[in-house]
Amino acid sequence: MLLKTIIGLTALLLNGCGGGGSDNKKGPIPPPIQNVAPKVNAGADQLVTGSALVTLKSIATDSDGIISGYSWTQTSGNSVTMDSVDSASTSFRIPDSSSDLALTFTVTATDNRGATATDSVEVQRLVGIIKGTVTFDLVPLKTLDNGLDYDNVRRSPARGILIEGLNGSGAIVGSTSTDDNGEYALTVDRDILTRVRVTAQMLKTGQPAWDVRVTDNTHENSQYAAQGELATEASAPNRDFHFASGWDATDYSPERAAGPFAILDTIYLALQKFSLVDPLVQFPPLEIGWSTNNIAAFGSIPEGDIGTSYYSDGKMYLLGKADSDSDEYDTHVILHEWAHYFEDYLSRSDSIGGSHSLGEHLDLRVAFSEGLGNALSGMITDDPVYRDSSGAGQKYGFHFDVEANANYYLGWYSEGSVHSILYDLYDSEADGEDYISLGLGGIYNTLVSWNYKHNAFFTSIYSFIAALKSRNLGDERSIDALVRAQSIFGDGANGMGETNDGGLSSSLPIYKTVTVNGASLTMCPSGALAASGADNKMGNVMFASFEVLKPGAYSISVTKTSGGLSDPDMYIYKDGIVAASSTSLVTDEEIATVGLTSTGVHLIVIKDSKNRYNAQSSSACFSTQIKDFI
Amino acid sequence: MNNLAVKSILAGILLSLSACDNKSIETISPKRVSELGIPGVPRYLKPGAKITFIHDFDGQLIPQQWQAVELSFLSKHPDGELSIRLQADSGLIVSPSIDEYSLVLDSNDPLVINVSLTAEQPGKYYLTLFATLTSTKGMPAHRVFALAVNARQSGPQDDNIKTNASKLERLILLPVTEVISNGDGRLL
Repeated sequence: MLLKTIIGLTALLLNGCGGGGSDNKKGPIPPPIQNVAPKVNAGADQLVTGSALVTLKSIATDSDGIISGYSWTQTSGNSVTMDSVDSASTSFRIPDSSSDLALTFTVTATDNRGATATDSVEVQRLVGIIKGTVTFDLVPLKTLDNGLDYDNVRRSPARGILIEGLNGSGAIVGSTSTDDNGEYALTVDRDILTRVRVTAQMLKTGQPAWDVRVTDNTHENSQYAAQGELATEASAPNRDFHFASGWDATDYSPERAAGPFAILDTIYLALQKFSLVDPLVQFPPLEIGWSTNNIAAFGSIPEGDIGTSYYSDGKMYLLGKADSDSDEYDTHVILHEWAHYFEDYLSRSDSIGGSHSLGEHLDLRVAFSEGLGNALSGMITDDPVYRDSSGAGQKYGFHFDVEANANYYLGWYSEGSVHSILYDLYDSEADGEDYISLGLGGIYNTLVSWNYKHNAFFTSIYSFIAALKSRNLGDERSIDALVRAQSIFGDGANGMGETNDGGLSSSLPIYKTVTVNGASLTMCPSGALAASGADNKMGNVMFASFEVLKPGAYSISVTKTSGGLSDPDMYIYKDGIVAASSTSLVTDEEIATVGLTSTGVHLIVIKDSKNRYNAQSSSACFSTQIKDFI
Repeated sequence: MNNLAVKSILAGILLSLSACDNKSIETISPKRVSELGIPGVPRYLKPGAKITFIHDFDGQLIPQQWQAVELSFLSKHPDGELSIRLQADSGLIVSPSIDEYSLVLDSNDPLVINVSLTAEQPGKYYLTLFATLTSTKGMPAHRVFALAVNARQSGPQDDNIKTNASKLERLILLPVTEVISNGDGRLL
C-alpha cells in the first residue's frame, strides 16, 4: 500500500513539471502500475488418527513478483501450538480429546508488493470411546479349613489395571486404567480397527504413583496380558473381559488366567489404603514373579523352583503349583510379602530374613519384620485372620489371628507378640490391654519417620515403639500397656532394662556396651535355638554398642575365651548400614583393623558361624576389645 | 576437614597398618545390614510351621535306577505331633509306598524318613512333602516342601539353562472371554 502511494505521488509531481517549455512535446502518459495479487492453497483437508503430528503445507504463487511472507492462524477448534506460523508449512500435535476434533487453520500469503491471499484447511479426528469392564474369578478362602472355596467363586472387578488400545499393526494408540469398579473408557479413533489389550500391570503416575506388574519367571519374566478382537469402535463400542480361574469342579485347567489379576487386586488394596494416609506416596516399581510352575522346591527360579513365596532384593515371587501350594488367592500371604517390599523401600528393615514361624524365638530384627508383615496383612484387609491355603485341591491350610493376644511365646523375639501389638495399635477394638487406636496412619507415619529410619539401633519392636511414642506424646501409657502385656519390658530403641530373656540368659542385655580403649566385653552367641542352617534365631548373634568419638582406624579383636571349636565373625554398623566387617575362616578369633569415618553410636555384631551347622555343641564365648589408633 | 580428606587420611593409615598386620583387613562399601542375609536362602519367606526340612539328595537320578534319599524333619517344639504326607508326581516312584508318617514331639530327635526314588522315563518330577504340626495348644500349622528330581542319563547334558533376565517386552497371552456389545448392552 505504501509503495503504491509513493508511486502515485511521484507520478503526480512529474506530471506537474510538464507545463514549462512551450515547444516541448508531451510523451504518452504511462498506465498506473497494477500488482497482481498472489495465490495460496492451504492444502487438502485432513482426517487424522491418534495424537499424530500433523503438518500443514501451503503452496503460494505470485505471477508478477515473489511471495514475501506467510502467516498461519488457528481459527477454530481445540487450541494447539504450532511450531512455526511464518513459514509455508507448520506442524502441531493433535491434542488429547474424548470427543471429535475439528480444527481450522488459515494461511495468508503476502507478495513483494503487499498484496495478500488467504486459504483455510480443516483437520479432523473422529474419536470413539471403547468402554467395558474387566473382571476375574476371585476364589475366597473358607473359614473352617482355610482351603479355597470354589463353590463361592465370584466375579470381582479388576481394579487399576492397565488397558491399552492397539491398532492393526500392534502399535499402542491409547491407554487408560480400570477404575474401582473394573470399568474403563478407552479413547480411540472411531473408524480405525483397534483391539483392547488388558495387561497384568497397575500403573499410576503423579501423586501417588506406583507400577506393579505380574510376570512369569518360568517364561523369561514375560508379562501376563490378554488381547481382544480387532474391530472399530463404531462396530464394537463395548468390550468386557473376564479372566477365569481355570477350575473345572475337580481340577485346574492348564490356563489359570485369573491368577495374575487376583494378585494385583490384593496389592491394589494396599496401594489404596496407604495412599489414603499419604496421598503423595511414591511406590517404587515392583515386579511379582508368579507361575503355575512355581513350587516349594528350592532350585532354579526359571524352572519354577522358588522354594516358597518370598520377597527379596526388590522382587516378589509367589507359589502357583496346584495341589501343592499356590498363593494367588492367599491375600494375607501376598500382603505379608508386600509389607517386606514396603519396609525395604519406604521404611527400614534390618532383618536378616530366613525361615520363621510363630512358635520360635527369633532374632529381634527378624521378629519385628515378620510380625509387621503379619500385622499389615490384617490392617490392609481389615481381617485379622491370616490364612494360607495348600494341599490337594487347595482344600487345606492354616490360620492365625493377629488380633489374638495369647501367643505361643511372648516377648521381643516373638513375631506373634509383634503382630499382636501392632494390630492392637491399629484397630479400634478394645481387647485385653488395648485402649488405643492409631489407625494405619499412626503405624505408617512411624515407619517412615526420620526417628525410625535413622537410628543407631536395629529395627525392632523397641525402635518402633520408641519412635511411635515420640510421635504420640500423651499415649505413652496406653502404648506401654500393650507392649508390657506381651512380656516386653525394655525401653528406648535399644530395649534398655529388658528382663525377659526368653529362657536364654546370654540374650540380655540385648545391646551390651563396650568402650573404646576400655575393658574387654565377653559375649556368648548361642546356637541353642537355631535349627541346622538357620542363624536367624534369638541369641545366635550378640549385639554391643560403642561410641566413636573421632573418625579413624580401630583395631577390633574377638577372641574365644571358652567353649568348643568356633569361627567368630564380626560386623560393624552405623545406623543400620554396614561400616565394616571381618569374616575370615580363622578359628577361635577374628582380628581386624577397620576405618570408621563417622562419629556416634556404632554397633558390633558377633556371630559364631559354627553355630549355623552345629547348633547344639558350640556356644563358645568371646572376648571383644576395641582400640583406636590415634 | 571435609569428609574426603578424612577418608584419604584413613585410607593412608589403613594402608600403613596393613603392612605390619597379617590379619585380614576388610572394609566393605556401605550397605544395609539386611543384605547380609543367610547365604543361599531368599530373604523374606512366608510364615509357616516351625519345621526344618533337610535331605541328602542332589536332585539327580538315572532313570530306572533306585536312589536312596534321607528326608529329615526337625521341629524343636515342646509338644504336639508332626505328620508328613508324601505326594509324588506321576512317573516318579517312591519306595516304600507309605505316604503318611508321624512323630510325637517329645524329644529333640528329627523325624527321619528313608525312601528310594526312581523314574521310568527321563524328565523332571517333584516329590511334594506336606508337613503338619499340631501342638497341644490346638493350632495346626502347615509347611509345604518339595524335592525336585531330575531323571536323566549320566554324562554331559545339554541343560539348556534358562536365564532369569527380565524381558518385559515379552508377553504371555492369557485366555480371556471378551464380550462385545453395543451401547445398549445388546451382544454383537
